[in-house]
Amino acid sequence: MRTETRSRQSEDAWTTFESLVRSRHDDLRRFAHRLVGDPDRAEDALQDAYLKAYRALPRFSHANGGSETGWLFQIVYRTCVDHLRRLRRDRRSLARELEDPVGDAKGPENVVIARASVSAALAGLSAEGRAAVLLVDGQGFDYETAATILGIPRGTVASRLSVARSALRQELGDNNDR
Amino acid sequence: MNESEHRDDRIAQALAELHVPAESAEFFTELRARAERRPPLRAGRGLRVLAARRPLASILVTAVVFAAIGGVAGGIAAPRAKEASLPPVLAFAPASGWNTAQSRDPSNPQVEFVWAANVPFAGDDSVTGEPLHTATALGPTGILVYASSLPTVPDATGYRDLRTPLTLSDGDFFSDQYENQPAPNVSKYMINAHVNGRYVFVEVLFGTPSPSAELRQAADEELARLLVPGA
Repeated sequence: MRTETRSRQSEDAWTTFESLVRSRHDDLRRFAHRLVGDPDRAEDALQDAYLKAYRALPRFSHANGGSETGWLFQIVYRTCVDHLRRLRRDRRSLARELEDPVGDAKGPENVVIARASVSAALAGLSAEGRAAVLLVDGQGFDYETAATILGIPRGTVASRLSVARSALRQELGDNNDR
Repeated sequence: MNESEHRDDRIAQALAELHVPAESAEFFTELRARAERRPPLRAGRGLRVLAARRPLASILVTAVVFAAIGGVAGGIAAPRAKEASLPPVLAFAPASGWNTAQSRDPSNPQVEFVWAANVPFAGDDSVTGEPLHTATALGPTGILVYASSLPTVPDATGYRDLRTPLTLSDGDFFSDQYENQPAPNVSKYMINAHVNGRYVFVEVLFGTPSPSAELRQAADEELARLLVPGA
């Protein structure tokens, strides 16, 4: 009987968790891929992050304004950074891996060039700078939330964004001139 | 407010156009399989633990410890008759300031797990029989010792012939980025030993990446209370 009860509790816990994650999965996945670069490693990081979240869910609290979305992004961010550390790749190889596989894309040539350039510029940023721009400009989080997710002060978010945006704008501006 | 307080729409659009590879159809299936495996602190064992406990007060002296199925204070469940008849394998002798518990692998009752911690066990752990939540929540002075024993192992390579008491110096230390690290602050010593004819696996976890000499001494003292009967 205890085993059946535990099994039912486990089923309920999984259902709750999967529902929570699936509603944010596309955004979390996009964030992980942009942050990590390597597709396989990004998927691994995402799975590891979700696993951590599943196990930590019973302890999640809405206290202090905690949101489930911010909490999930925080776990994914930290796990991705862990995976990036393990990769120990230099910026050049990361830039190579972030190059878009554009084989199926049939857009105008200038769009393809812009995408590749933005990818390269993104890869050239530090992981912290990349995360800041992905959260604020990519996901639309405000500074406060981004600071909470990244575990840094709001002012640091601003400075990281400034550097990251400058690099990305340069790429976008360059391509507009072509 | 400076200009960057707002989302940069041009960058946002550029980011949105970046390609994201297609997802494996098995992503969530694999994730669930991993979640259900719930390896306690070490990958590859595939063991599930079912709590089988008696009150801690029943563990008074070493001889009694060997005969008892220990338990976490509170959340006590009577062991099933089949389990209660099994000879105990491992145990921690009681000590002030340490909580201990025992559990068995329901699919192989010969496999027994014992834990000791200088912090209260997390509530979930007293239900599942796994100290994962306790490990995750370890504070800077927290210590968790987790041991299991098998009569035989498929590959004995790596299990050194040792005698009790085991010490941290018998093991390998991992402080960062190790497999199944419960939390970023948690470091561990891992000991694989062949003791008294049994294969014993021990993990000692600290809630800090750099345990002090005092903490390591406290862990060694608890390890000295790990009792391994003969096979």
